Amino acid sequence: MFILSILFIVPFVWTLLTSLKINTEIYSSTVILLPSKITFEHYIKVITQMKEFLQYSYNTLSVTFWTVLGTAILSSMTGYAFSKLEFWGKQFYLTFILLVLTLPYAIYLIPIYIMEDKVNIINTHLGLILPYIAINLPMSIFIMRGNFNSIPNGLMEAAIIDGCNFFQVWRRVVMPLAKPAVATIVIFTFINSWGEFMMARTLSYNPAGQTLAVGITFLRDEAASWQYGTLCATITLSLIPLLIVFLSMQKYFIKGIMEGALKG
Amino acid sequence: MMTHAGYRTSARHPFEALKRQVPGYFFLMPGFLFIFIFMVYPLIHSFVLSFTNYNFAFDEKPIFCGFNNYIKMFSDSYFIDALRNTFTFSILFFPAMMILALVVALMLDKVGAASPVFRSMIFLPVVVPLSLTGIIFQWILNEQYGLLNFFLKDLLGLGSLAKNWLGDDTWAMVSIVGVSVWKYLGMVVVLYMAGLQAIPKELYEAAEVDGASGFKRIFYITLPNLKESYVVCGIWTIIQSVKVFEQPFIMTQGGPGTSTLVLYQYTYENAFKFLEMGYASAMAYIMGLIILVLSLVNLRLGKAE
Amino acid sequence: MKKGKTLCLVLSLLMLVSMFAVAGGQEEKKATGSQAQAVEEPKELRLVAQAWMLGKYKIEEAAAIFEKDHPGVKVSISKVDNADTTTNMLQWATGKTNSDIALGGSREQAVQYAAKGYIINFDEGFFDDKIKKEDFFPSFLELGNIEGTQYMIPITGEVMFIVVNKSLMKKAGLVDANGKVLVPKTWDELYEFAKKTTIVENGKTVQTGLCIDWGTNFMAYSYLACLQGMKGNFFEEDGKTIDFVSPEAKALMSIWAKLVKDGYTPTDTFADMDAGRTNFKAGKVAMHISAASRWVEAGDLLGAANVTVMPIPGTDKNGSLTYIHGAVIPKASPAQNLAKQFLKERLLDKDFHTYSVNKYGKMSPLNSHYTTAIADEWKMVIEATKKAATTPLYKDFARLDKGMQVELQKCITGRQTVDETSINLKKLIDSLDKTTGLK
Repeated sequence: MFILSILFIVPFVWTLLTSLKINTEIYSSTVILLPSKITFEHYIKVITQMKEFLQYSYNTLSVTFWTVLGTAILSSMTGYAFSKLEFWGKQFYLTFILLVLTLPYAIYLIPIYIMEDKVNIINTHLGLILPYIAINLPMSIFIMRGNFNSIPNGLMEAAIIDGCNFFQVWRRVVMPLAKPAVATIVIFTFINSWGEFMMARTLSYNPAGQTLAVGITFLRDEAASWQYGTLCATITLSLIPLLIVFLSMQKYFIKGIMEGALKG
Repeated sequence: MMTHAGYRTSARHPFEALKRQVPGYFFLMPGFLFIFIFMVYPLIHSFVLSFTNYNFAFDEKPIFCGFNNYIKMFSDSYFIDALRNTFTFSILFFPAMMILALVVALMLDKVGAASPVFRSMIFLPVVVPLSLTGIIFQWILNEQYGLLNFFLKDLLGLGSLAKNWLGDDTWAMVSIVGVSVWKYLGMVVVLYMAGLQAIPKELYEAAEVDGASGFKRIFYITLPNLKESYVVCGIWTIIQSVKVFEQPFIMTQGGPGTSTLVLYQYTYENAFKFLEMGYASAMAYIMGLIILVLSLVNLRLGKAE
Repeated sequence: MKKGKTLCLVLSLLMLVSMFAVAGGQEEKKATGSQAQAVEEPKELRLVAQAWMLGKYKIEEAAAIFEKDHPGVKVSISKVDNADTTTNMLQWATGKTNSDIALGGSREQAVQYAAKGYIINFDEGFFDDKIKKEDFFPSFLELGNIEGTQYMIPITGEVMFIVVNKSLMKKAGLVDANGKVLVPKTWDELYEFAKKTTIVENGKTVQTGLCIDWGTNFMAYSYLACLQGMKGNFFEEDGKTIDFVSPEAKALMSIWAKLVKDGYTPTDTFADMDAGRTNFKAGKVAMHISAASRWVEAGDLLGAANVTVMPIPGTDKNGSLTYIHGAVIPKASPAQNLAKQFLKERLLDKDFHTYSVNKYGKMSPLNSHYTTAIADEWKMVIEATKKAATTPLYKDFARLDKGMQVELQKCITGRQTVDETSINLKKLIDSLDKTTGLK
């Protein structure tokens, strides 16, 4: 287990080490593992070049936050409907959602642009949040549905007997058990929105609307000379917010799992 | 399965039937409408386009051409290559992911206290965008100056294993699969773990009382109860396989030649490089069809057991 | 947990407010229609530049100077990705634009815009006494001219050459009595040079002889430049169809494949299009076929005395291949006059270009800027540029480009024979629309 895990983070360790090496060591013919002397020049270069860094970060944070929130709420509801409720046309709705999931997003790019243009939300946060939610919903719905499916109906029937209406059954009985799945969706949607590039590039055009993913590619183009040092510094820097969110979600994730285990 | 309204089915009152739909639609509609409003125009737009010839820069309007695009695809040698490559990738990637992730998830379940640490480490690649890690991997996999060959040749003395990872037709595909597994294993592990945690402890306790060994417990209790997880992980992995894009796009750009050209990249290039929107839309629908079929099969398998 | 909850709530409210604030603030400037006399000249000039330009040119300084010269005018700069023209096309199709001047595009991109009539014609209302057509370097200006109309003003020019690491060549004994690097006159000579400058130790190549740019953006340029050198042109007899079948074309493909097979040229550039450039700058490559500007760029790192350029075999006689990056102005822009002024005053200014010429080798589009060129090699580069040819404008060029990449890569790695490659490429080009696509 230990060896396996180490294997997974080797590229990141390498990135970190590279970001601290001087250029001649990065580009030497024989691979040099550890820096002989540590330098922060790459970090300085990145930070001074990324003037709009704060704006990009803010945009990304905002877009990601709302996308995650919207997706979590909507998918919990819709996933529940597919899993536990009966209604007309259920199969049709499910297939439609599956259809959306299956097509490559590149095709949606131009029509979405045209739609957003008509209501003037190009280059805004909303302009990215809405398509992101729409894209993340199908998979999230499936995950929630899967999770709900493994919750025994007996619990719900008991709740009804106790006098809950349909909404309360969902909120008080079923949802608390779905915490692991919700945490999964949060992480999953977060990742998809944070690093999303294709749509962000097309649907935004200046720092007011551009996200980190787009901003980082600019750095790559600008730093075409001696890129690996600055690139590694960039990656390391962009890892920090990701790690913070991830580690904090981790705790909640574990908590949710333990609660679920106790209840089960 | 009893419905929420809990009433006995009686079709006498039409309103009864309607009333019973309420909970379903209440929960369904917000999410569904969201997707519908946002996607129905793009879906129709691209579907119609797929039956036209439309060069985004040079044509005034799309010109109807029937099934031409779909037919043209099968005589387009690059499309066939892309189809084949996507298939190859999926055949290698799908089993690797499903099996490895399950094994890792089971192992993590046993580890206990240190598990969050390991889990974070395995999950880390998932979180970092490929647009960045892809470039690092290009470097690591470089034949002359890359880290991997350095380990193999200089540190482990396995010189013969050091290949031209991204410059050779076969090894490029292998490398892409390898990087893909590295990137996404954590995700599937997490999905499996969510399923594992949902298995009630009583089942395990009962089995222990009956004297079942570790392996038996896994086979008879754990695996069957992960059915839902298979379905979800399966669909997710299928989609990642057929829609694979960033890994080859960033690391090899489909090369050398067409050895790592995948469907999504070819579709993307037709749309945004050649500006042939009609043709690209048709290709996208073929991709979608493939995924749809595979996903339905996956769903069906999940129900069958 | 309570504190956490309130913090979350506050943060959410903040984001909600900001979200709508930002949503409201994105007013696009609609075209006010062409007016001979603007009632009120717009005071804002929006520059959109491809990201790499900001690293190679002092655009921000230029903007600051312009603002000083024109009090009340504000210049804003936004970056975009190089890759595609889609966003611009989508915008300009609706008559809106977020840029008054778009910098860094290539000729092929300009054609797409021109086809739909989205960009202005510089023949009307641009050239005057201060900036005449004759002031421009002819081949560069011609590149911005599409079927008789000047749609793009060149800002950067590039020409294909061999960039050389003098010290590595010296080590291999490939210099003459005066210490000047020997110039290979034929591809066979170049092959020998590559052989002599490739050093392999313990099965690892520690020094590469020749690197050729075979990546996405460069395959076509490399092929055409080399063929131009070999044959004097890269067309078939009809003068329109790119040649893939003549004995010279096949000889070129063969020697490329041979260089790779014998290990004197790597295929790194397939996957990483900057590999050649990066390795050259690290001092590990003796010769590199790429844009001449890489020579000056590398000189910055390796020492100007250690790098030089030499013509690709034959291009000193036959000329090489040039390409440009330039500026276009969308018709939808309300600040066209301002944009033109900026172009004339700042983007064609001598100091603006001198900096980039000397530091990055980016060639200026104006003749007058070459009077203070410092290095000798510039004369050679300029000569080759004057005689140079340019990539033909086919409507379907993007497809040809992809095909060339794919087929030539297969040929170079030995996956298919030269003859097969030649046949495939000929089939491809015969199936393409070779007109420019403009109506």
